[in-house]
Amino acid sequence: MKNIIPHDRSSDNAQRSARPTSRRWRIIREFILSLFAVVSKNFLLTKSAYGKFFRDFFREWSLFFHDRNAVLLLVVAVIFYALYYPLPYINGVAKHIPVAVVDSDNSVMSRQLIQFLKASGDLDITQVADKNEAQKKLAGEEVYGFVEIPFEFEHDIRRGQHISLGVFCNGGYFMVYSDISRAVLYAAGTLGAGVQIAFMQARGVSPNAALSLREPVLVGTQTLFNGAMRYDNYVVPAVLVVIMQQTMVIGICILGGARRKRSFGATSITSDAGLLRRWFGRGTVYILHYFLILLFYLFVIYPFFGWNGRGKFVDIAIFAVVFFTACNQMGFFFAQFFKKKESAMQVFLYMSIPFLFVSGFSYPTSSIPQFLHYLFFLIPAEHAIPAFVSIQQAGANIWEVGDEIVYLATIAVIYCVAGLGLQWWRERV
Amino acid sequence: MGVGWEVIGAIRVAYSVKRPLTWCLLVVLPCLLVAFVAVLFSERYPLKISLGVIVEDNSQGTRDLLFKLKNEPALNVVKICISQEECESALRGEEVLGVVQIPADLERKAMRGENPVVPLYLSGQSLIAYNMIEMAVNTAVGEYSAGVRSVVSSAGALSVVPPAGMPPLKIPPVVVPPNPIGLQMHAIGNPSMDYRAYLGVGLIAATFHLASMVFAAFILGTLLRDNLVGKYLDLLSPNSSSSSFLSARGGRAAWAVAPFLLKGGRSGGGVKLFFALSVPAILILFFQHALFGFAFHYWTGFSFDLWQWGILALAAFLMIVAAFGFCGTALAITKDMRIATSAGGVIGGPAFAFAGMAFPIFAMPLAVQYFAFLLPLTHFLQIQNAVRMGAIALPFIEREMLILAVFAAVWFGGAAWGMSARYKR
Repeated sequence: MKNIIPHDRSSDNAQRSARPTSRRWRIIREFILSLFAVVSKNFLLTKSAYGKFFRDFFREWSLFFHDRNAVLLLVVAVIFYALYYPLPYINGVAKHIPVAVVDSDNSVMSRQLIQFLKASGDLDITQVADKNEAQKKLAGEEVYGFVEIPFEFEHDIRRGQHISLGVFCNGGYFMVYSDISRAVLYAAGTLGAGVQIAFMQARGVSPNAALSLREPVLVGTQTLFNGAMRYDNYVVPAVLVVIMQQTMVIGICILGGARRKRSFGATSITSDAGLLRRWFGRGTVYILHYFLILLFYLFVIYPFFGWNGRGKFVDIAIFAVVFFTACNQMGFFFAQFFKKKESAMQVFLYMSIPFLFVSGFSYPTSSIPQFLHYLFFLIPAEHAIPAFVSIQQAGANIWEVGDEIVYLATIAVIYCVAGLGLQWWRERV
Repeated sequence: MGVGWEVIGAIRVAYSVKRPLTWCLLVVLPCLLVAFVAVLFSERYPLKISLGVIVEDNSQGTRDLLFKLKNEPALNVVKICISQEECESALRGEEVLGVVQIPADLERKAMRGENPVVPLYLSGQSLIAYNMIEMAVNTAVGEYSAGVRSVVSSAGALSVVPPAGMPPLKIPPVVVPPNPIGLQMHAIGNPSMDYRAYLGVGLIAATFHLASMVFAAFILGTLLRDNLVGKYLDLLSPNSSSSSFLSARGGRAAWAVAPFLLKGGRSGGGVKLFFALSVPAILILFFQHALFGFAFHYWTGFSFDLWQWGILALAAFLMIVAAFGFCGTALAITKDMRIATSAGGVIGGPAFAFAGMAFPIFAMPLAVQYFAFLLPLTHFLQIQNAVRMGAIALPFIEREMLILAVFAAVWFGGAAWGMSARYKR
């Protein structure tokens, strides 16, 4: 049996092995490597083309557990990030937003309005003496907004005058601003409706007629796919896609892509193989590895955090194959430009923000300038985020995200042709 | 006055243009990110959000409401469906972000006082679009409703129906008073609700927060990775060729202050080397952040006083020093550039999510709130918000600035102490 654990370690590896390694980690690593060795020996060590392909495949996979940086990135980081990133949003929605009320009227109606505000459930109402105190609290972020009920509020309403409630919110927090304004709008609307109906009833209109006259056509809002409007349901699926893309691309760059000679002591493994075998043999590993990661996300992370998951397995599987292939080819293409392992990490770390935002998951796509979409066309996440969110969160089938799937496949082909051509040229030169 | 020129020699080598990755990480990528943010939010707030409309008949009422929906600037009616399934599929595939269903006989039911409901289906997977669509559809339906109300009230259609055999009553029009309570919404610090002033400036700060961490690991760790510490310490010795070269020509005016700041050190040249590598990076990152941050504020229409600019500049400087020092300390502890970069990535990458701008800190679990407190970005963003509120926020700004200053001192001091120990021959 050929030993799949390479002996010719480079200086990089030698330096690493000089460090004390914990016994537990050594045992786990040896166990995983021996598992790969057994599979490789008994099932895959044949001379057929398939055998060679799968041998390369398994040997490459074993490298994930052979290189500390690769383990950290391709195994630990993808799991850690999926658990770490959703933590701020674990409560889902912002309840009990601190809001102050300046009641300059102190009448029955103003107190009724405060009761309505309290009844909204979203706000935590504190009454303050004057506007100056409320402003100080707002500036100090003790409250996120305040409502000013003017003097003679009830008196003016009863005289049929129009009253304006001043609602002052911290404009730096849009989500909180929306929640406060919605709650105040409902409370003021309810109080105002009561006044309108009472006015009409006083003039002989029946209560039912008054009610229907007040608002002849109603809007019935129904929230789909994320009924509780949870922030984690909204943000995290998109982030998971970016995590998978980024870690895969950086991981491939760290492991040297399809190069013959790689710097972590694995030169003897697949460096003797032809370019196509190296390219696709090594590449298939990442696709399968990330497929397992995706399964972990869907069957462990999703239920653990209680997120909505409506995707059908077949649709997700088709999406995953195309998306991972695109990321994979992108990684092999970019791996040729980084001499040092960590350079890819440093460069791609910066790019997470644009990759996330350009997909339109947060800011509507229609409001993003079109040329940004063209500029980022070759980034798989740009198409994968809407596709994954549609399938997994909204329950779309693969045909409903057909455009994105076609774009992802196109990206895979472009990177594959460009990358293979470049690698072939470099190896000839 | 030749003392310290050797430091400039070391800086020249470390920040040589022959090392493109240095400038790529320090200048090119941050600038590109800022440009990206500027272009992304160039429309100020979301407009023309895709909407689908299910039309069940072709009555005048349906056409009127459709017209009003099409006239809403926030909406773009891209799909008119004749069946619910058609629009449902478009909503699932994110072709549209909301669907309005105009029921059959809308006008007739409204005139008869049956209070027809216009169902609005919104995707909860796009919260920004959700609010915009809901507001715009409510406005359009409200306008339509007002039209119906004026017709109904002037005709007295909902008045008492006379009993059989009685002559019809002459009933005056019903007066429907307008809603007596209106709202005057004020977004303090961002009156036009501009996304550039909300997400834009926040993302720029997050970019430089991350850049400071990543670049610290890079510039301080390269020497350890490539075993160049000895070479740099040689450069720092007063007799090195580069220092004599520079001394002979008087050096560069821009570096003139540096030698006085960078004299001496705990472990020989260790501290000198640490400062020689750190100070230029921090200054370059700070000037970029100040320039772009100020330009962005100016672009969004803020008219700050000088003291407000000063506070923002100081906060930006302290945030960059603290973030840089954090990764420097991580590097000093681990002695491994990759792990320090990873630490920077793990902390700095999602820092924007933890900093409370997207999702409020008070709604996060307690442990996460403590973690958010430890991020320099959190305090910078809070100062940035408070500065926009004017002088009333000064006590709050003082407190946050003090916290940032402590972070900067602790992390940067830790990095200086730790790295000077690492920089040995």
